[in-house]
Amino acid sequence: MRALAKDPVCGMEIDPSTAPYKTLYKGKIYYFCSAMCKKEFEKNPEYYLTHGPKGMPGHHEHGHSHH
Amino acid sequence: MNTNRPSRKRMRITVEEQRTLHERLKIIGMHCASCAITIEKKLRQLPGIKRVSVSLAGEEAVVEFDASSVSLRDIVRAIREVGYDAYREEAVFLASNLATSDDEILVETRLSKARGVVEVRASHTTRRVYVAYNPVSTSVEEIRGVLEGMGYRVERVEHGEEGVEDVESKIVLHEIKKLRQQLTVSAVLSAILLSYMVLGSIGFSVPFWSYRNIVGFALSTPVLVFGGSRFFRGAYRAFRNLSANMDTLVSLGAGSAYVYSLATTLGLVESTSVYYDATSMIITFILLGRYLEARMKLRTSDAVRRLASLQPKTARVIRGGAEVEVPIPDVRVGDIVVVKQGERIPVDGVVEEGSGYVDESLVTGESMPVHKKPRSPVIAGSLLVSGYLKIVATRVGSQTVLAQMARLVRQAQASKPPIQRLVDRVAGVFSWLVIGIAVLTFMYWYLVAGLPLEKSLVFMASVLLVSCPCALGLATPIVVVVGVGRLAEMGVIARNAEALEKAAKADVVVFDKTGTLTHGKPRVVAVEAFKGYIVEDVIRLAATAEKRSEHPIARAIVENAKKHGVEPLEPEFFESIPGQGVVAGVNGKVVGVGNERLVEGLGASLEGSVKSIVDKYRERGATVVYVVYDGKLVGVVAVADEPRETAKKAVSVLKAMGLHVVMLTGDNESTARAIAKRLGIDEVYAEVAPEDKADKVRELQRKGHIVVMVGDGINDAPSLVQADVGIAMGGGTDIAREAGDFILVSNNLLSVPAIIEASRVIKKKIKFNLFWAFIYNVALIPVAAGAFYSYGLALRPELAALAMAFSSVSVTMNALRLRRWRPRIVAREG
Repeated sequence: MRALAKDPVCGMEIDPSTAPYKTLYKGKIYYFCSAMCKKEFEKNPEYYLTHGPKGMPGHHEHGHSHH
Repeated sequence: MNTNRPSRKRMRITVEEQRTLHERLKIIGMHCASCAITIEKKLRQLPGIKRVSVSLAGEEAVVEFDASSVSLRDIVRAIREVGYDAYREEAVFLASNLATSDDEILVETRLSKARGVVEVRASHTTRRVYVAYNPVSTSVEEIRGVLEGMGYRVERVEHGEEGVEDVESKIVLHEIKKLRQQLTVSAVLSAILLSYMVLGSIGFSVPFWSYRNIVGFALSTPVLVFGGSRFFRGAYRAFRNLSANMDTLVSLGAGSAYVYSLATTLGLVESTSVYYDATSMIITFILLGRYLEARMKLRTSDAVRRLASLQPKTARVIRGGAEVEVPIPDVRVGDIVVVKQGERIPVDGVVEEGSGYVDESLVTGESMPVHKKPRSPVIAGSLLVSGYLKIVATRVGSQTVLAQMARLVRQAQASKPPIQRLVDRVAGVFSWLVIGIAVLTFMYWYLVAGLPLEKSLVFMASVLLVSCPCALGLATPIVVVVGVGRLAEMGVIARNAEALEKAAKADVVVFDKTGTLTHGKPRVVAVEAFKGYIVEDVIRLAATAEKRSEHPIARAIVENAKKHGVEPLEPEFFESIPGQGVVAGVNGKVVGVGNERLVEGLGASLEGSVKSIVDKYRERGATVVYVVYDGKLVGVVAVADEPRETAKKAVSVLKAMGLHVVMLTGDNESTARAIAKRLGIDEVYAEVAPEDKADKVRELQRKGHIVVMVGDGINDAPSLVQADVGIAMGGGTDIAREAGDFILVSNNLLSVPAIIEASRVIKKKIKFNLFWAFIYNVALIPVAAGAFYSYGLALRPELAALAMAFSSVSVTMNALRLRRWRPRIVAREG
């Protein structure tokens, strides 16, 4: 069992062996709890790497559409 | 909560309105705490939710809700909308006396309110009630109890695990036999009575003429009791559930004529004539209609029956070194099955020994026999045209592709297009409306117009008998059953009727590229090395990184290494990054294979000289992956994936049908454009990450398009679900698990235009049928009520019954014509 990784956007603990959302940045792999966090990170990776996790990105703007 | 209601007259309803339910649902797909929050948040937005708690650890949601304002189905739907799912089990109840569309409505409304029931679909055409339920809070036995409490005979329960067996045709055949007996007896007695009455009244001397009422009574009573019993029983069942249906109308119509005649015979009513002959003719005609309908219905489910007939009943299995013939249920996974020339393959499996040509056309719709050699997969139901095969069984019984197909088709046949819900609502009140009109008709003629009791009753009976909720209720489902069956014969599994309705309206078709428009079997066409590395290094590094990947490009790279005699190393670690590529550890360093984003992510630089090499391959339609080692770009691999033979024609046919065709791919823009150009596709969305594919579909939908998405049933699942109509390429062995409203078993892309054309035809047929059934009632009810009596036009009750029987028969006949339907445009273009 590998150590848990931290979602750099929301700060949640993620199990790398099962996480479906991840990205490569500067030679390192980052894991995310959701597509939302991943997108947020890719928009501005340096911000999250220097400022640390900021909690779940605004649910309101990424909210799922209601049919 | 209802204390401020002014009255409580409808106690039963009031009680239901206060019903608070408590459900515990197992949630699928939760992997972090934000999931729980997302689900809770979504559920709280629903009306009538009192309490929600979603636990990540237990992977379950506990919901307390007011059953009058929200249903379990809504809750499950909400959970699915945010990307998770609730665990459900499925069962199919076979109720032999689920005979009319009124029963369907009744079962659906009643059962959907039962505890733990998520979804109910009842179908009188297949006599099945499909129920999806939450196994935590209810069970098959409990649901069965509810059905039986409503008066339905549950003959059998099929858990999701049913094999290929043809039970419904046995039931229908039994029904036909019974109908034939009843019809024969009724017809003979009616004919005798009618000729007796006619001959007697025109002056022939027939025996017992002065006792003709007694003769009428003696001959018509058996008709009513024996032939009419099904109607009276059906009416009683409806009455017990406080509803009215077709049987109610027939019973009231025939019953009132009979009771009046009986009263006259007993001298209770002063009257000149009796209606025994009319009574028995009514019963006879309606039985005739039912009989013809049942016989035609038998043909509507031909498709499933044909699939079922492909499954051999026995298999020759090697046990203890000898070949023994065993019944199919005894064949186990791992058994070696022997198939000889001319036999059907009894199980899904892989060829172990031998070779031969197998005709899979009846299962997949693919016409050419396929050559099978060791390690080739084979499917149950296909025919070994020549050769000899020993097969290792991998799926048996209910798990075979054939069984899954039959099951899915049957489920789809029982599903309802949205238009049917409207019709159901109309049909639900229709019978009451007719009874109302009948009563008003009687009152008008008897009380206002002052006609004698007998005449007034005749008008009333005619109204009851001519109106046909049956044709109205039958118009849609019968077309769905025939249409879905016809599609199955062409290698297309439709999963629900709703998709058929949507496909007819579609205006944009989005194709995924890899594996859909192309074979999905890429081959390496070129390898280039840079920075002092040689081609062999690049081949080895790439193969090492891709060794543990399942991706088709990875397989092509590993295959290519093998071909060049290059042995990949054992990677120290491996990770695949969707939308970028893979990374692995080699010699303590990182090697990555992927697209530009991977190169960037690994911090390697991409020189202009490499770019021009890459562009050269892309313009030929090849996909290029970069190989990065130790932070440097050391090579590129070009991989080509050939388009399917049918792709170009499918695109041109779709365009000819007025649809806009779009290609969607994660691949590079210039590669995608090169392929699109070859296939005649004008619009391309390239470099779309897998998780963004669904967003692209949503974008098109926002612009007002009705979108068909064609893709892989597993990898493209989110976009298939997002699209209005999802078409999954088959080839999968577990078709029941694939996403999509349609599954192409044969992978023939021409099926895509065929589906759309079929949907349009089916929709047209449904509309035509509904129009016909509706106009029919609107036109004939006034005639039957005597609106044109003053012009000498009236409808005798027995003729009303004949007209009614005819309307159901014609609706069925119209649907049956679909059985010979062929996609016109596809055929013409070919």
